Amino acid sequence: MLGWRGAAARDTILKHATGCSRDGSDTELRSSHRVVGPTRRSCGPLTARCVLIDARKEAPKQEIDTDLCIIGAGAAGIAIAREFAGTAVRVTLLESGGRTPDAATQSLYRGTSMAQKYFRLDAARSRYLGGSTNCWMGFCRPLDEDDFERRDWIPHSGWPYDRATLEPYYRRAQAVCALRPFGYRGVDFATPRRPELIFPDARVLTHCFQIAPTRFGELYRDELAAARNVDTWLYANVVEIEPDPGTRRVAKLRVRVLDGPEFSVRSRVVVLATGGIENARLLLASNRVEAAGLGNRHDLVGRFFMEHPHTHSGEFLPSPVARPLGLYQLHRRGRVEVLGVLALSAAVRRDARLANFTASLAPRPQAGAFERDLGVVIAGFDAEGERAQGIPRFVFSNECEQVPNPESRVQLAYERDALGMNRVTLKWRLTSEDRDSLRRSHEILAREIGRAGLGRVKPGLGGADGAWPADLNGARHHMGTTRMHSDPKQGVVDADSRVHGIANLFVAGSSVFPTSGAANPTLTIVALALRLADHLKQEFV
Amino acid sequence: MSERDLHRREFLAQLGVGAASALAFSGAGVLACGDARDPLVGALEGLFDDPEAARAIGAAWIAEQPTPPDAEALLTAIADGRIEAARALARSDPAALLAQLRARHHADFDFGRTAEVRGWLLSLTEARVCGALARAGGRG
Repeated sequence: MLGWRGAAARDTILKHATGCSRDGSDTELRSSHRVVGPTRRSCGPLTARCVLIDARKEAPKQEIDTDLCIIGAGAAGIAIAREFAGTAVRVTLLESGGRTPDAATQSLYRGTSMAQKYFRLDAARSRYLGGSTNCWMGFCRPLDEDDFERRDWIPHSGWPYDRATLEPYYRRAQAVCALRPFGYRGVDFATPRRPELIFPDARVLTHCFQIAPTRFGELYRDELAAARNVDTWLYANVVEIEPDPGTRRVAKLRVRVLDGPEFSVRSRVVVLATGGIENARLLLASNRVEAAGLGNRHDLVGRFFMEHPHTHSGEFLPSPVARPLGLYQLHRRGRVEVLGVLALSAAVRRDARLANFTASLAPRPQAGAFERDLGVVIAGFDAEGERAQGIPRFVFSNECEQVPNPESRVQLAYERDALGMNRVTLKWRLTSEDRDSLRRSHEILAREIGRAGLGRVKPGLGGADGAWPADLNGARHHMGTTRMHSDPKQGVVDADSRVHGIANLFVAGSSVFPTSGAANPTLTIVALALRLADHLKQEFV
Repeated sequence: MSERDLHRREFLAQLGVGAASALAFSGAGVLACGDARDPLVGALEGLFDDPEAARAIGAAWIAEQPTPPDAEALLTAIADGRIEAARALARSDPAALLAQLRARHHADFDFGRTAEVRGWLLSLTEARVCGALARAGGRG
């Protein structure tokens, strides 16, 4: 089996012109797919096998010259690298961490969080091969169609293309994420034992998550190692993207190894894929030529940081006719788990001028006396007096779309990390619109559930001028800091994810999302990565 | 036509308040609201597996009202002002009365006629029925 051999077996790994050793045992496997590479090559002869390279021990003695350099081996970076495996394009994949987590590398993520309460920044992400797929829960769902639309009640909304454009990439992303075939509606997973709740006029919908916490690093490292045209460098930290004097192209990347050497990479094309916070950080820190940072002529890099505000609020007592609620509880379906969630239809949100949100049903302990009495009343009206026994009680676990807000942002801090890079300050700022949207969404959901005879709801956010619940936090989804827009004055990257004004610099990941929707971002990250890869293939024709 | 007019017309139509019920109304004896023998109260109790639970919810709702309504007011509101017609229907076909109340309860959510009880969103009909039973049962 091809793949990483570990430090003890390093001498068996094929080396290239910079001093690598050779492992002839794999040549047979490679001989059937000879790469016809471009004229430049970082890894020496084409017969050489370049695997996962530990930059702490094997830092190149000369500049790496490559076709496509991908910074960051997370979901997006790995998805793009795989698209080029076995092609004539020389790919260099630079990963800050190793195969497993280590404290020194992880500490590079440390930063300060101001404004809205937030997770520790070095605990909200994973900095090693596979990126934050090493710590994600695996929840996958595409954005909704109207998430891509310009909505006049959501400032700065609208993607440069519609969901139909992304649809084929979503379908391809299914396999990359090791999911079932594309399907995210209630009807795709409803069974007689796990029925879908049906609402009049389809004003409330059931969406289903497919859940598979695929660790991209573990799943794809052998494939990456086996690809003769892909060099994956571990412990290789890009500390600066250096543009040419006119800042029209990336000239080279400065790469540092913790407590180790520095080297540089020249690449025809560079893809920045380090996550929603680090993408902005690296652009801002690449400020030797342009003081504001790279791609930041319009002061947009780092702004519009979005999360999915998450809170447990709002209670639900289902009527007997609403049960069983198995579709809405985590359950296995083949190789994935499935969870149904409730959402207001696009039409309802449009009429009420609401942001998107979903509510999953978190079971809570048996109802108290008041809720038991209410359960009897609910059964009387909704189920013709059916005896109400063992009334279950749920709390809504809400995942909300955050309205894009330029004052919600990532900035460079004065403090520097062990590589000499400025750390980040995160100012996650919500607005009254965010809370008000969820509050009104709950009111509508409460009415629709009552109208459908499915139970009663206790909306959780109180009055219009109340506070967020104390448990409000994000979902470790970092979006929007290099937002996509066709107009350079409104977006950092264009519709092809190319940084405006910099011909060979692209950004992958959720930092390009102009709006966040209410779906977990990874499936969209991978779909966008595949779309970017297709675009880049044209660059190399 | 206002929403209230629509609601009223729907409900009256559901009650079947035509000539037949007018006759029933003219011949009905007037009962004191809240009287345990009130056929309307008896019919409303028939909604629930445990009427005492409904009385508890009704008492909680009444306690939250700035001007707590009495039983008569609640029953009159439930009957949309045609309390004797409702009593007549309660006597002749209580199941039909309850079916109509359930339909109205669901329509309440449609038209935003809701009530809050300890933060829970109920239909106004639901709250009134519970309140009426609480009052009739000496609670609230």
